[in-house]
Amino acid sequence: MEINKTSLPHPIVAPGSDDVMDSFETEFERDLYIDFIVIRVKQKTSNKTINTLLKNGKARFCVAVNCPTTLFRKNYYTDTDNEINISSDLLRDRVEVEFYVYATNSIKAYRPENINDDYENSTFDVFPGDVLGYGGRVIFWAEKKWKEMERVSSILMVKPREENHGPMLYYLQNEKIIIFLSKTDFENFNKIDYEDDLEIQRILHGAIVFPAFTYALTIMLDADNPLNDDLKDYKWYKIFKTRMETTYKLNDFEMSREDAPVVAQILLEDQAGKTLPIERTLQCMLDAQKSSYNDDTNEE
Amino acid sequence: MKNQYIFKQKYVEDLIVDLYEGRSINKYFKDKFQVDEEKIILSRDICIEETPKLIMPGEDQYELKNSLIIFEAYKLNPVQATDVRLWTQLSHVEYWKYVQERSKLIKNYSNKDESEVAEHIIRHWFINPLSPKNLLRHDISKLWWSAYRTVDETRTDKYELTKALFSYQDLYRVLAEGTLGRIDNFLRAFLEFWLENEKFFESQERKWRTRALFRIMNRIGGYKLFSVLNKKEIKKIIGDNKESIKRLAMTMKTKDIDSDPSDDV
Repeated sequence: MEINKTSLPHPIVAPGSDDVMDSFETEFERDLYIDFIVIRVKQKTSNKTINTLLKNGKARFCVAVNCPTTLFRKNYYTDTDNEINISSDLLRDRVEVEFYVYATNSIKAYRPENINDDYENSTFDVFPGDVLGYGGRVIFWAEKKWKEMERVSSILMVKPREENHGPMLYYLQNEKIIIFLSKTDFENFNKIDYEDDLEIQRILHGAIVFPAFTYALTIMLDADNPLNDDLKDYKWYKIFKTRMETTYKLNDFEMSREDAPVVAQILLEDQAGKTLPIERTLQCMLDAQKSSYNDDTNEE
Repeated sequence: MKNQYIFKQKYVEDLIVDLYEGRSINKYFKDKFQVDEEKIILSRDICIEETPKLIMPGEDQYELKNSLIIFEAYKLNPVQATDVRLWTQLSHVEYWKYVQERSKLIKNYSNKDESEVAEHIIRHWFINPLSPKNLLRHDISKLWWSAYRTVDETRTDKYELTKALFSYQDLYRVLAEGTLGRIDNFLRAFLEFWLENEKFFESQERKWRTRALFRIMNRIGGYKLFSVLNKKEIKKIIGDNKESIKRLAMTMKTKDIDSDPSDDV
């Protein structure tokens, strides 16, 4: 549950909020094992009022773990520093972790220190369960084969169309993005031995996968596109979303539809060599040309 | 105990694509689904003593009874219960006739537009995409998940809250599909409140008061963590808001506001 800032009846401490001029800091790590997932959390706030309430047992830190796919929602009460073990039978795909400090008792005339001057002399009656601080949200993927998510085949598949010739078509309303090739192209595609050939894979990434990713991301990054609501539960969408949230190079992006081509390239970046699809495709072509030139020269 | 058959993932995906392409719609009107035996596998970790029979649609309280039947027969953990391969197998093989009847496919969709029929079939036979909403809509998985979310071993009748959930269709939809319904404490507290306040939810007022209640609780949930409160505290909050619920229900009824109260918090 993300805090609805517009409906808060009292000020809270939160990153990016100027209700209270104090901080709520969190640290988060997680490890995936076969039978369980370990989450390590640290939480602290600089607000003296809340720290006093924490000390007196009138407020408490909590970590809310939410896995939409398995309808798992549970709170863990961590004080400031803790390790949480969750059975891997309970979580899959996208997991959201949110950090809170909340009131455990009713508090009359609550007024946190360093409150924004806009509140003047206001005080607030706070009740059990009311959020006093929000530390934000982190996402992780509870998939043992985490690395598989980075494989293109986990979110994309190629199928034939009815027509013998024609352009590629894309279909997004499926767990995987479907690229429909004409019958002729599909037959040729199946003849290519790309499973073990990294160079061929790189060319295919540039020619086939990159346009598909760009198309999908153009829709996904267009907040006004009504299709987004229909697409957001599909596996490819969730993987894209998680990868965008966890890829360091994308931190500086505003994430609008205009960014789609660049985001697609970054998502396809070769993890080992750190090269973008265009770099790899051009290098393959240069290598092929060079090899062909050498063959011609040798023949002469 | 025997291992349960499940469809292969690719088989599930191909069946869906075939439907969207209009290639296999007529198969769903037949008496039995022709399974491609090479595309089903034995699950390594889902086992069953004996495949139970379901009560057919039309019988009294058939969904509630089937929910208990499926939940008792299939001992799953939540991750196993999100396996679309399992539910697709069950809807296509073991419970083919049940899903056909329940979906009213033959009765209502014989003369409809192809794309409409395909959508209808996918909604009932498949979970696509995998989401809580679709798990609670699929004709077989919803039976398991409804019982799983409401079973309470501390009660004399451990399925008392399951019975409450199935007592009113709108209740099921709102609770099962909305965000608040995913909070265990809230779900159980609400169902108890429902059982304890029969008069408040008497038939003529039921629809609007249920919707008004969820609208108000969603607003409160924007700043209050229901998940940290116990059932008693949550029931008190609902009780304290009875007058507001009545007033809002009246307004919604007067204006015939059929808004979806399962809006996310």
